[in-house]
Amino acid sequence: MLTVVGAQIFKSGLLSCFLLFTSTLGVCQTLKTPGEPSEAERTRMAETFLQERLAVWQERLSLKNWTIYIVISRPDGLRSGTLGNIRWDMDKRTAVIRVLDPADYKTPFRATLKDMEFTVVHELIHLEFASLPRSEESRSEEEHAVNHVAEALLRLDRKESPAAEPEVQK
Amino acid sequence: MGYKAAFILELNVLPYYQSSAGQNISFERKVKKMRRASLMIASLAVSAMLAFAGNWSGKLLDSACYDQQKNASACSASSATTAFAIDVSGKIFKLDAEGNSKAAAALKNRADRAEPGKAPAKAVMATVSGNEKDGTITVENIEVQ
Repeated sequence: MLTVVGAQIFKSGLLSCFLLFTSTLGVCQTLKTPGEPSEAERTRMAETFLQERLAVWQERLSLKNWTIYIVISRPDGLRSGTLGNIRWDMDKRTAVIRVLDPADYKTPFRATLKDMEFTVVHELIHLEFASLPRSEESRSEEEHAVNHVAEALLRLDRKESPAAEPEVQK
Repeated sequence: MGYKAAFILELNVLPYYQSSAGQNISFERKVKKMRRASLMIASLAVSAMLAFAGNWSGKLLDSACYDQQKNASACSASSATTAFAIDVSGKIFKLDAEGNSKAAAALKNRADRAEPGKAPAKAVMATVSGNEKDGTITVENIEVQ
């Protein structure tokens, strides 16, 4: 009798555990935003998106005579406290823009792409200002100015053409 | 011995051979020249071995500041720096004149996008490639982070 009761208690306990496990799994799945690409896909999609946008902004900012490369970088490839950078060679008219990897963003992918585009536009504006006299003291003011101009340009771009919104396509 | 034999002996670097007086002096001169050339080549090879080629990654410093303060954390390089050094895990290497020009250009021709609400780190990390001798790097290339 006791054995039968014990077995029943064990079975019900087992069933409870199983139900608890499956319900937890279901909750975890619903927490993941539908349509979000996997981490591996994010970098690939971001690279494609940024190459397209780079071409657009190079044209708009009259930088077509420059050869500009985009490199997706992990945080250890960037200066601490930065989201991207640009290094240029005025004589060769080449530049490399490094942008933080989407894997290191803590925002939804669409917002991440927007911010990565902001980094590209930000750096291109720095390139526009490259021929101006620069000093360590003026860097802070230049940074403010570049941010404001980049914000204004992107606001105009996204207002005029809703299609410029980053599309998350798999 | 004839002239042909003298030529063979010259190849074997014999001090002299017995022949007419004029040929003897000419041969000795040739041998001396060869010895001098050999010594020069050997010394060039030794000095080349003493210079080490490689890559050095670390924090770029203002060399003049570091010479005064001996404090790497207080002497980060900036766009105003004209003489540079690199701190590689506590070991300091100075850059040569060419390296200083390249480092200055690299620091000038760059810009960062700071994370909102944060200031970029003052430390500038760099990778230098070249040859090192007596604590100075003859820079071939420099990349600034």
